[in-house]
Amino acid sequence: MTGFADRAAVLGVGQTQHVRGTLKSERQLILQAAVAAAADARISTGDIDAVILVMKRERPTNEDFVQSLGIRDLKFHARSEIGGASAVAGVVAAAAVVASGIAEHVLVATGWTAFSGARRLATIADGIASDGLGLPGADVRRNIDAPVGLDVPMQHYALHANRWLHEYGDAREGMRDVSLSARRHANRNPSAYMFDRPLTAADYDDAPILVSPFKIFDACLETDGAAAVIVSRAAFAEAQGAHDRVVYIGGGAEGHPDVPHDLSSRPDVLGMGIAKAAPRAMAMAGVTVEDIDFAELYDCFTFIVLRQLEEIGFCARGESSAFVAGGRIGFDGGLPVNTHGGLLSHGHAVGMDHVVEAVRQLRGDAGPTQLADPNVGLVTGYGDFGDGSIAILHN
Amino acid sequence: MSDAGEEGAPVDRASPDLGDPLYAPHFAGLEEGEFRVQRWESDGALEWPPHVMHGADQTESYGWQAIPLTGVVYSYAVCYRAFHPWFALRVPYAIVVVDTDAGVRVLGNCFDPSVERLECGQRMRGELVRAESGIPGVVWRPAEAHGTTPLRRAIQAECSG
Repeated sequence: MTGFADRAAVLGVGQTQHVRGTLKSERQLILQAAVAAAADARISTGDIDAVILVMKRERPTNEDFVQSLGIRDLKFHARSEIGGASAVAGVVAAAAVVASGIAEHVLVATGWTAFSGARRLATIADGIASDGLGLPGADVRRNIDAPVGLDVPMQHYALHANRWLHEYGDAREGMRDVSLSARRHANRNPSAYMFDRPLTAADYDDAPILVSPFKIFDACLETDGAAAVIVSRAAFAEAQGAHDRVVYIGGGAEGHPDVPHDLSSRPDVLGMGIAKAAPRAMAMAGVTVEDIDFAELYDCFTFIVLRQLEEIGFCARGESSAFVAGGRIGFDGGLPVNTHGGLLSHGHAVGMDHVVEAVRQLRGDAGPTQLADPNVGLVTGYGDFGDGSIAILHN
Repeated sequence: MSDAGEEGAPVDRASPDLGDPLYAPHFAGLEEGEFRVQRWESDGALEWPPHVMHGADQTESYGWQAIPLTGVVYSYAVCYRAFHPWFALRVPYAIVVVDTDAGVRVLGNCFDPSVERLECGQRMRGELVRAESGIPGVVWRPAEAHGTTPLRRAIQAECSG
C-alpha cells in the first residue's frame, strides 16, 4: 500500500433534498448538508477541524463554516476548483490531510442552486450566465468562443463527442443505454428527482437533438441541493463503531488533460484527466478494474460515462457502447453504474451525491438501491474541460 | 449583421475584449483582413490561442504571423438551439474547429445550408466576416461544392461501381 491507502475513512455523509425551486441560498443548503454529515458521523460540528472548499464559489467561505458550524479550531483549509471533478478531488485531499495527522475530521461539502440560481434565469447576453459557470481560460472564452456562439458546456463537450464518434463510430445505443439505466435506478430511489418519471427507449429516440449529438436525455438535471462528507482517520472510525461497517478510502487521485483550459486547441481532444488519475488511484488501493463491484461515475452527459469507462480501462476506446449493452451497468449487471440515478436522474450536487451513494452501498444501508454485498466501489468526478478525479472506497 | 431584439434594440454577437493586450495584434490583423497567430521567436512554433509564456521552453518573446484560412474539420457542434440571442435566429448553425494547413486550430462558425452534413476531415475555406458593431469573425464554408465531400464521392463511386 502506498500514499494514504486505508488510513482515512468516510465517517459521515449528509444530503439535502433535490428540488427545482428553493428560496434557500447555496450557502444555506451546503451548511445544512454539512450539519447532516456531522450528525451521521456522530460528531459535533464543532469537532470539524479542516474544510476543503469545492469549486469556484463565493459562498460558503472557510469563515462561514467556522461561524455557522461552531468549529472550535480550524487547522487546515484548501479549495479544489476543477468544476465537477472538485468534490471527489476534495475527498482525496481530505484523505491525505487526515493521513498526515494535520487534522482529525475534514469536511468536504458542496452544492448549488443550479435550478433557482440567478444565473439560470439570465441569458448569455446578460453576462451573468457565463460568469457563473466559472470555466477556466477566461480570455479564450471571451475573445474566441463567445463571438462564435460557443457558450455552454453542452457545446464544448460536443466538440469532444463528435471527434470521438468520427474516430470510433456510432455510439447512440450506448448513450441511450446509459440514459435509460440511470432513469431505471432513479425509479427505485425515493430521493431521486425523477423517482416517479419513467423513461422509455421511444421517449429517448423521439427527443430532438439540441446540440449534436446530444438530446435532453443525454444531459444532467439542474436541481437545487447539496451533499457533504466527513473524512476522518480510519482508526477513529474503527474505534467509534458508529456504523456497522467502516468505509475506507483505499486510494485516490486527480488528473488533468494536456491544455486543460481549452478543448479546441488541445492536440488530442479525446484526452481526459481521468486516464492519468485512474492508474494512480488503483495502484494506491492495490486493485484493478476486475476488483470493482460498482461505479458511481460523474454523468453530466451520457457520453462522459461512456468515455470514463474507456479511459479508466473497463474497456478500450470505442468499445464502451458494446460494454454497456445488455444491462451490464444495470442493477443486476456485472458493473452497476450510478445506482442512485446519477446526475442524469437523481439530482445535481456536483458529484458529491456519488460519494454519498458509494458510502451507503458499502455500509449496506442504501435502502431501495442497495446492491447485494458490494465490497469495492469506484467514484469519479469530471470537470471543466476534462479534469478528472477518482476515489476507490471499500469496506 | 445585427438584428432587432425584443424591444427593437439591435442585438449583435458577443464582442471580444478589444482592450486585451495579448490579443490586440490579432484584432489589428483582422481589421486588415488577415488572421494572425502567435509565433514564438525561440523555435518558430505557431500557437493559437496566444499565451503569455511558451509552454515548451518558458520563453516570452513572440511575434505574429498571418495564416491562410484553409484546412480540414477537426470537430464541430451543430447547434439546434442557441444560448445567445444573435445565434437564436440562425439555428441550426455550427461551431467548427478547423485544423488549418498552417498547423493551428481555428474556431469559427458555419452557416452554410449543408451545416447538418458536416464531417470531420471535410476540407473548408474560411472568410473573415465583419459583424456590424464588432470586428470580423471567421466563417467556414465547405471548400468543395455542396454535397461532394471526399467521403460522399467514395460512397457514390462504390454505389455506382
